[in-house]
Amino acid sequence: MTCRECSEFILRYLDGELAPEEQASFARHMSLCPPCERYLSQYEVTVKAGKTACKDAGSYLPGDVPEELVRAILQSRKA
Amino acid sequence: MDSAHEPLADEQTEAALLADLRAGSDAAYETLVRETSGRLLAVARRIVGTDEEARDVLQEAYLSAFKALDRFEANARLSTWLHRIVVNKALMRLRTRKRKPEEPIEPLLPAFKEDGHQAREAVAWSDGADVMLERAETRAFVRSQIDRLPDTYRTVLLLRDIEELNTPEAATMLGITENAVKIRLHRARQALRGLLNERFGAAPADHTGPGGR
Repeated sequence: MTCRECSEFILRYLDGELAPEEQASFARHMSLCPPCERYLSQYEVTVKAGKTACKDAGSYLPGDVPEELVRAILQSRKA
Repeated sequence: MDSAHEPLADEQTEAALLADLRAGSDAAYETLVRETSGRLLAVARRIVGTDEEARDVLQEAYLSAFKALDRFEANARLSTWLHRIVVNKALMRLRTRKRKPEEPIEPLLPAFKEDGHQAREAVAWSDGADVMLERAETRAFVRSQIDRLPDTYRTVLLLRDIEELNTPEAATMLGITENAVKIRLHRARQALRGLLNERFGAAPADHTGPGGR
């Protein structure tokens, strides 16, 4: 397996969708190729970073929604 | 778990609220909007990118929801149902925008040599992920890089990784195949990793010798 092929397997690897033989050759490549191992680890960090970063994005709490927007939404029901 | 997915209340309270909504109680509608609109405004904002458009999306979404309340099936959670309506309306808003040509994603993807080795070997990132993400400034940077992704890829990343829709749900919302969702998600994550690498990886010199294996 080359680095290119390995990189295309990452999503399915993380989703647990690799066939046993694919899984074995993916693991073998990873154990022998530090750059690919680093890449995999950074890919996983990236996914986590997106989730963590977006959790406080905007951070509108119930009280943060402009009152006129709440009023407009409630009014629209009666229009 | 993203707060957008948090249940509105326990099931019993939600069932009671639903009954009051269906009975047309003004107070129930007000409770629903006050309890859910904060989270949903953030969802809309993430997808459409501006406060003004997010507010329009939210208004459209609630109006749709109110009209469809009779068809709401109580085997889903009210909060999840509303969340999906907001995501859908936000995606519709993106589609109606004047289309401008998207930047290609290829420059952000990893490059390989003809023999399949990494053209530029991944170098170690400076800090551990947990340390990096403790800083509000880093989290803001990550968000700004997500916003740099072409919409075709950014929306899939948002739907799958942030809004936590599964692959079939994302495929239905976007009107594409499940396989296309998987490919775009992988490309989006790779591209985002490339963008984060510009800050967290030491500047990599082009590696001309043998790469990995």
